[in-house]
Amino acid sequence: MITVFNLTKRYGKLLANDGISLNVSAGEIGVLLGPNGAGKSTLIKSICGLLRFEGSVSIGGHECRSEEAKRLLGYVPEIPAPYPMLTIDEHLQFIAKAYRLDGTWRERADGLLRRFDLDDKRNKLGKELSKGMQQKISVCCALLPEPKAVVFDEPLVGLDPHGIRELKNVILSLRREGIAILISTHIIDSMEENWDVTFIMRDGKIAREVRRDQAIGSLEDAYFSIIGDTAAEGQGT
Amino acid sequence: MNSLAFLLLRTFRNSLLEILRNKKKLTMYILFLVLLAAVTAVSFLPNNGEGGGPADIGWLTGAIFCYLLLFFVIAVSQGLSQGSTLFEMEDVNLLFVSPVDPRSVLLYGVARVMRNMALASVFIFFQTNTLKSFGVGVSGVAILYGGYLLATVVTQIMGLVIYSLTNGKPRRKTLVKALTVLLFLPLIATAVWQLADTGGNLPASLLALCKSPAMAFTPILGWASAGVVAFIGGQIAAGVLYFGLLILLGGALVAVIYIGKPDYYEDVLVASETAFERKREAAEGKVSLDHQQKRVRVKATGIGGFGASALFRKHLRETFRASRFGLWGIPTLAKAAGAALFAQIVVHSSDAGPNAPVISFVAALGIMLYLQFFTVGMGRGFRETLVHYIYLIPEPPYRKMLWSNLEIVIKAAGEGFLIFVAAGVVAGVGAALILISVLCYALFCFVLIGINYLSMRFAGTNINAGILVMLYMLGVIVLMVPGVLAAVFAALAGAAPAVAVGLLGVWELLAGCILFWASKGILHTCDMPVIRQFGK
Repeated sequence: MITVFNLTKRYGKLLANDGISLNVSAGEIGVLLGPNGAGKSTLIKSICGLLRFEGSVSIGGHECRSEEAKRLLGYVPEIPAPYPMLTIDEHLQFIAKAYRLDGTWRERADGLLRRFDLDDKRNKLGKELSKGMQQKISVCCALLPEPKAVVFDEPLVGLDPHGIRELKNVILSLRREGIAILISTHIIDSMEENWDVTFIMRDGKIAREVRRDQAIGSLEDAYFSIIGDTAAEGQGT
Repeated sequence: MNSLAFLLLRTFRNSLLEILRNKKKLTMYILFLVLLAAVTAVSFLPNNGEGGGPADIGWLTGAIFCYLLLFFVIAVSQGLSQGSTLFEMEDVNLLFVSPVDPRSVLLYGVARVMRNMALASVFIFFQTNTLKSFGVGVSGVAILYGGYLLATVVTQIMGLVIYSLTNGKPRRKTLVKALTVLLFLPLIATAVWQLADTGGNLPASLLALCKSPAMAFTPILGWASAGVVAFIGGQIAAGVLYFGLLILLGGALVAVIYIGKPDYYEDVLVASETAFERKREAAEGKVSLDHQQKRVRVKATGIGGFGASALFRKHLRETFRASRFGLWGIPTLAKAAGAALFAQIVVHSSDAGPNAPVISFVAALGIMLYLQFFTVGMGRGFRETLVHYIYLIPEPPYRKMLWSNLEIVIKAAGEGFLIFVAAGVVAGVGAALILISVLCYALFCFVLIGINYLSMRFAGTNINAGILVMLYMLGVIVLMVPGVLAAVFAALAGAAPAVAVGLLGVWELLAGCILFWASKGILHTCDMPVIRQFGK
């Protein structure tokens, strides 16, 4: 469902992503791991068509910048950016209108708001929301159009324990529904139980791809066997 | 070396080294200096316009006063709400918890603000050519720079003192508000008296007000403006008196905190945190002009439209929620009133020639186009490109571009109508010139939007705001040259003013269409920009 082939992204002289290829199939959870500066966020943004790159990315067989691909893709950014002057409910209305969703969206929207504890806060403005609530509305906006592939960039940062539990449950139910999920995270523990394929990134490359059925030991063991205990810290790219 | 002096000097040295090592920044600063030198050099060219001596320097006093008034109002309102931004977050985190005397830290904060303001105020030298019309040379501009710097630093310290004295004390806040109004009462009374004395002659009464002691002795604003003009006019004693008062007040304000309240850290914490949060958001690409602190009451809700048009309906909802006046609020009325006042002053000034109505009207058009550069350049259409939603909406890119900018075009057309009808009626120019100016104003908006999008094709991600603004301004100037030249040549050849301005409008339409054509598909083929702060 999410297919990346030979993706290279440069910021001037800096090679942020170097010939990356990966595939996340329908009903799979793919996890992107790597130290700061490994190129995870750049890869995520490229997959979502927010950056120019060399190589190819397809969503459900459609080039990632096409309208068809955009219809199939949901994106939860690392930094949630709600519109300050729109209410929570209006964010969902806007997505429903912009994506030309059919009449059933309201029911789904209500379900999502209930699930993320936002039901009684529908008339709160974007600028009044805490970081955690901003993250929740960001997740709701991404899931409302019923995408076939969802890309999460550090989705658990800023969420309260209830939000984390709900998001994990949502991710699992998305997998059950046959949706392809790609998650970039620093919190290895959070994905330890629920992953199908992990891509460990280092210096802009995928240093290792681990399938769950091939894994020996925990995700953390796999990560540190590649990255080591003293991985250089850099800036997020 | 003292730790605070070390911090101040070392950060300054590192900033300089960073500029020297970073080619992009170095180019930006060199470009800036070249522009500055060019503007200064142009001011040495002799005037070849119609006769008449320099404008009355009293107007310059008024202009400086009004400009500083803006900073004064901001400082008072910040003082009443969040305190002063004398310190950065790193000072709060590292200095405030260190065993350094808070009094020394305060002096460090003042020195740091002075250093920052000294750099930020360099833009005044870009006004050298404008100030030439008052008979002010480069040395006069340097005096203005000094006066402006002094006044802005004193207002910053005043903000901190106000916060320090009124934080958590509503009655004191009311008192400060009353005192602020009281400060301007003599000025208001003088304005009314002058208006009556001149028989309702607005330009004459305004000029008399600018030269009145009521303005000169208004604390901070009056002292700074009168001091600058006194020094420029060679009245050294008067200049020393006004600047002396300013320095004395600044010193007294520092003394209030230095002696009376060394425990001021809490008073700067909120402002530092707020400023830091905004910078962080800007660095993360969350550029927003909706930072207003006032509480917004949600009444009507809902968003209409379908597909790309939902963007337009969303913008309307956001605009009407942010201001009850919607698209045309107080800024539009202020622009219309300003243009009308400008026309009134020029047309009825004592040395006005027969062409004064058209000249004043066209000058007002020029000023309004210049202002539009800032309002459209950072308008909602541009801000929409800084968040991911518009890129992910499954609609054709050109449709998203059009709907995303429809609001600002409608706003410009309506605003242009109000501004130029007001200025045109006051100046007494023909309806054709008014209508064509409205069109010219709306079409310039079209050009600016086009440049915004086209720049995304070349800019890439991680744009430095300083470089962006400079390139943007340069791009607009270069692009508008043919249209402006066509208009000027037509006017010199004897064409009617409406025809000359119309030629500029035709060029804008042509340029706008080319820019939009060249930006085809941009929303699906560019890097989503992340605006970095100036200098970062």
